[in-house]
Amino acid sequence: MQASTLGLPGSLMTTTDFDLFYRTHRADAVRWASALVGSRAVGEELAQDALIAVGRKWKGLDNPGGYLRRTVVNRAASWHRSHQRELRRSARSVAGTPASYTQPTNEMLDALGGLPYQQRAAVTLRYWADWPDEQIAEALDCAPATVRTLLHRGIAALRKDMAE
Amino acid sequence: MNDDDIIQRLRSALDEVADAPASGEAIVDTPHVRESFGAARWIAVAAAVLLIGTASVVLVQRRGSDDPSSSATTSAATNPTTTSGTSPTSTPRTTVLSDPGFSTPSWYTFDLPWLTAGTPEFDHCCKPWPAPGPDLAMAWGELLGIDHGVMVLRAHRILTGGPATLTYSTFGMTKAQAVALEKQVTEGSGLPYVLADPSMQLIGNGMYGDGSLVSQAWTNGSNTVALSVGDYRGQLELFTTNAGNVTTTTVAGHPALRFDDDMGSSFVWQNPPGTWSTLHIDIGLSKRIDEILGAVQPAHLPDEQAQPTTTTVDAATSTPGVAGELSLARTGLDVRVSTEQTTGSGWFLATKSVDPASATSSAPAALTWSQQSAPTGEAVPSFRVGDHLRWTARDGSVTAFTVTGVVHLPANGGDAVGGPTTALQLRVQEIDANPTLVFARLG
Repeated sequence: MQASTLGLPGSLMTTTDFDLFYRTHRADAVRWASALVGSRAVGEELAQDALIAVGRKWKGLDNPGGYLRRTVVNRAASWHRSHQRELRRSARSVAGTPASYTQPTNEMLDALGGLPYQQRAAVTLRYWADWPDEQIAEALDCAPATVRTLLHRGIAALRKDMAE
Repeated sequence: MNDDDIIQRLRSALDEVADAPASGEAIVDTPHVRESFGAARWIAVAAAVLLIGTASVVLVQRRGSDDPSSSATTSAATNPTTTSGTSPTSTPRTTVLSDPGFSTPSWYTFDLPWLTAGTPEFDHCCKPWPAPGPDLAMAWGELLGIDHGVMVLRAHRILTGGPATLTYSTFGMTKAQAVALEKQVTEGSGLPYVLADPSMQLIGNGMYGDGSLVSQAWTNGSNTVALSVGDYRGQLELFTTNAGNVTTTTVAGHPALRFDDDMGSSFVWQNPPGTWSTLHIDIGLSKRIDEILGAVQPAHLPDEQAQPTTTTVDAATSTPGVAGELSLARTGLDVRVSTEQTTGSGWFLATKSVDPASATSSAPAALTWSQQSAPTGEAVPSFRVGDHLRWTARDGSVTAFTVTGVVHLPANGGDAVGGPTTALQLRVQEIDANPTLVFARLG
């Protein structure tokens, strides 16, 4: 196994450990990120960015798994903010929307996409990724009780949306 | 519907997203396979298309009367450019583009004192692609202009000689319109495919990663403006497979499509002689886009004195790189970028769309790579638009890429563990999946 640089001097990094971490966590990170943003392609990019961030801080991390989870969730939130700007800008174009044959038309995904990001993240991570409330709270930087509130409101909003 | 039902549907929906094909594969999610395109015919047509697509690209030119000397203006998002003032001609003009010497009169420059021009690079057609050759690229545009609608066809060559897989993507039309157009595409006798719809015209025909191309980059020291003019080699696909980020504009008097992402802004427009221009402006210059576009001026094609040598490297015999590494084949540049963790060289290149352990023949058509230097003060190597990179996967398969965009990211101050880092991102276009030959530009 070769030593890593990842922006760090090789001597500061136990590269074998990170290599193993990368290999064992990449698939999960991609799935989490994909679910949070609703796009596998974007999810892959966000997950890769998050893994790079973990790599750069590898030596100083006590809980790299937790750091990865938090980074994925935060980067997905950032993506949502920028994506909303893009959507608004795109909506102003009168030239027509680019179309591909794979645009998602899933009713549940549409409903999920309508939730505020924190609700969406909480619902996704709890009911799909099966994270415990404490882990979600850590990733969202809030209290576990807040997570339960987010879950309650999120599910209620989805139920209402799907009933319409 | 109770909560359990909601959660069940939620799980099912998110499973679909998370288990979807990797990026780039999305556009072939629903491939439209035509069974009547066998290997022998492919080779014959490939030869014909090479001839047609590069030495004598025949393009139906709609905008022969466009005035390229008019200054560029970017339409505001709320007031996009329309072509109502330009009447489409009903008499197609045939233009023959000859490759030797790059006689195309279309070229541009920027009269901006804060931009320093780099050396023009000339990428001559036609590379000796191994069978079955690169993917075929065709595009049809609405008679009113590409800003009114474009349909792009990509014919994926099959190494085994099986039927080609055709994928379509569109801009400016509904799915129903796109499907209706697709049904009108038939195999042609001269051209590989023909779209018999009176509202559409052929505007591009060539090969992905092949065809004549002249490129030049301008820099302000930290960010780059990159221009390329040349044959159609799939330039429009960027705009038809990225929903949500594409708008219309005008560059140098030509209707153009604009694509924005976190790497910057890209523009493509069709030149009167039948060539295509692509302009990329790094994200660091996003506040000066209007100024840059306004400075785009027609110019004479520069002399080819600084033409770099393009050579063919046999992947089976050329080394650099251990399996799993991506090597930059450029003489005199002691850089090795790796998809894995490397020793000493100080470079880390991370794939954003491909699992390094499984990247083989299914690599997406367009990837974004990010690269970080070690905090040792190493200079970032001068990747340029048009550079060729190659990927050697762990199984030994090789994929070649052309750099289509370079973004120099601002250096950060480091963090608690690492020192300051510099970084750049490369956008690359896959030339061919699993080529037995790769092409390296030697500086």
